[in-house]
Amino acid sequence: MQPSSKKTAEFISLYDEMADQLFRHCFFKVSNRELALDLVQETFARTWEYLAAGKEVNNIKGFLFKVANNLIIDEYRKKKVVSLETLQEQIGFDAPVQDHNRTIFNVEVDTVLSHIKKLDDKYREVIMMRYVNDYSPKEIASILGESENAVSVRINRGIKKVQEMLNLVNN
Amino acid sequence: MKGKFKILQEESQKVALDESERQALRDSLMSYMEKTPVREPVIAQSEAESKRRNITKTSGTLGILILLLLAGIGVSYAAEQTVPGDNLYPVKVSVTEKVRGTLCFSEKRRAEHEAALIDRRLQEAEKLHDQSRLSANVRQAMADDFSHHVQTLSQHVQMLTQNNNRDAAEKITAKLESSLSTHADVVHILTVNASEN
Repeated sequence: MQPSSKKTAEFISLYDEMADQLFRHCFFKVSNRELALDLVQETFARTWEYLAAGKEVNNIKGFLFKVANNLIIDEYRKKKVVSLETLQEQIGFDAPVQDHNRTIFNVEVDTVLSHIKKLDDKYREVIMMRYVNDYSPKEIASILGESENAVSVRINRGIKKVQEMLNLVNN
Repeated sequence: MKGKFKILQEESQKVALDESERQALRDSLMSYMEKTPVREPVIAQSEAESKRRNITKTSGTLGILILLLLAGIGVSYAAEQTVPGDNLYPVKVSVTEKVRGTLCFSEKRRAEHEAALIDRRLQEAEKLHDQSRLSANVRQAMADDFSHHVQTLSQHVQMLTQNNNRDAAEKITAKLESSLSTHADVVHILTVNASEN
């Protein structure tokens, strides 16, 4: 099947470029392969719907991540009815969804991941994009619409906070 | 400390779509994009020009589009209650159900869609039977269709089990069993017909 117009061709190129990144992003949040696949597909479908309606998006990669995050929040809401405050806390933790497909890394990596997930949103997001999605600080800044310097500072602070948590555990 | 993050970085790269997943998602997405074409924005003109030239034209065009959309929705809605032999039945099967099927991207959703189709076919067969319209030819066609959907569903359930999504596989199997139990009489009619042929 070949794309029928320039816009569709561009969107398919975007899919080719971003599918893995979004999958990785979703997988690490919901720990379920099947669900992550659904979320990736839904993310692209909704983004296409938005573009097909003639709306402009300045930062398409940032938009994709935003749509994905909103879908992940919806998924958490489906599984458990909680107060908004508890939901905000739980976004960072392992999903209360079926976990049949979780990849077990070595203990060291799992430990670091579990601490990263306990960070505040602003630190967790940049750390995950840096070390799970393998984006450079410059790319992260572009996706989030922030300065490279602000992102670098936040990454370093996030690393420091994880270090503090690990030290607490070791002591 | 940086070493631990480096290891995380390396391990994370191993989490990726395999080729078949990537291609399946791509194909589904392209199919969806074909069915949701781009709607080009109206080129902006001066306010005076818009008021003078375009209002009547735009509202006329809009009116026609709304009528067409409503007609389409009306046809699809009317088709929902049809059974084999009705004029709009092809719309139900070839348009509405096909579009719904295109929106099913994961194995789980495809399996759910298939289970829903089986239930619809059984309801249709029951309706025809109640109206004494379940002729031999129609019965044969419905039996073949029913077998096809059950086979397709089995394949999806098998894939779910292989992908360690047993919870979804069990729920969908339970749903199928419920349908078969609810429509036991017509299932018997269809399957006896199939074995006789």
